[in-house]
Amino acid sequence: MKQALNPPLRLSLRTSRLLSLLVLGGIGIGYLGGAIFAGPDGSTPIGFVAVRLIGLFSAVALFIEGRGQMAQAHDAMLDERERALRDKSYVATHQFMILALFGSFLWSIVAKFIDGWMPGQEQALDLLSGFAITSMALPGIILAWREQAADSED
Amino acid sequence: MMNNETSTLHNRLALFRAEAGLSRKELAEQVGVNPQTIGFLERGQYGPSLELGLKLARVFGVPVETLFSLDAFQPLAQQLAATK
Repeated sequence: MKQALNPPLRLSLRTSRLLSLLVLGGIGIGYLGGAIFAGPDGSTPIGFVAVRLIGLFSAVALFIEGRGQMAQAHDAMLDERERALRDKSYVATHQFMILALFGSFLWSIVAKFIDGWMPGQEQALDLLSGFAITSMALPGIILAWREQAADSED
Repeated sequence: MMNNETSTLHNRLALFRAEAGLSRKELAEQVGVNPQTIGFLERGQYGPSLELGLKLARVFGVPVETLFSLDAFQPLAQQLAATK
């Protein structure tokens, strides 16, 4: 652990968790809702665009915050406990994203038989964007929820 | 012992650190970890790697099994009573 993370960017655990909820809600509702309720011309309703922006700005804030930094940090900047925590967050992210991808794949098969909703080309691109942003933000989000509150001496 | 939210590894880190008059920050600097990690170790919320365990034992000048054990340590009061 030769270097340390930048402490002024480290938000409180509560703030980080609040941001993480905004990211998941904003990205999930903004992109998925925007794709499902897209206009006939493929345009996204303005409300969903606003929700997306909230999710995106929260994701940026979380990305530059301490836990987001930790998710991207070089090994030398972390000690063994932090490295273990970060590795677990990437494993959990991988599992979650694979599950989401597999779920989408299954839906694409089922939707053919039940005449269910399928995204158009623009909506599919939007959904991919949401998927990519979520996969980038998720390690920091998981770190924020897995971290235990420090005691007074810490 | 690489990962480790452990419930089977017990330690006397807080006791040795208090006796040595070291803060968590000072001890952390000596073994090259974040001070929060010392707190996690003391609360038994993290099991150290063999390397970190040996480094901690070296700081206090004791064998590693004096600091860490798979069995719960006898409370200090009981140990003192037994020696009288």
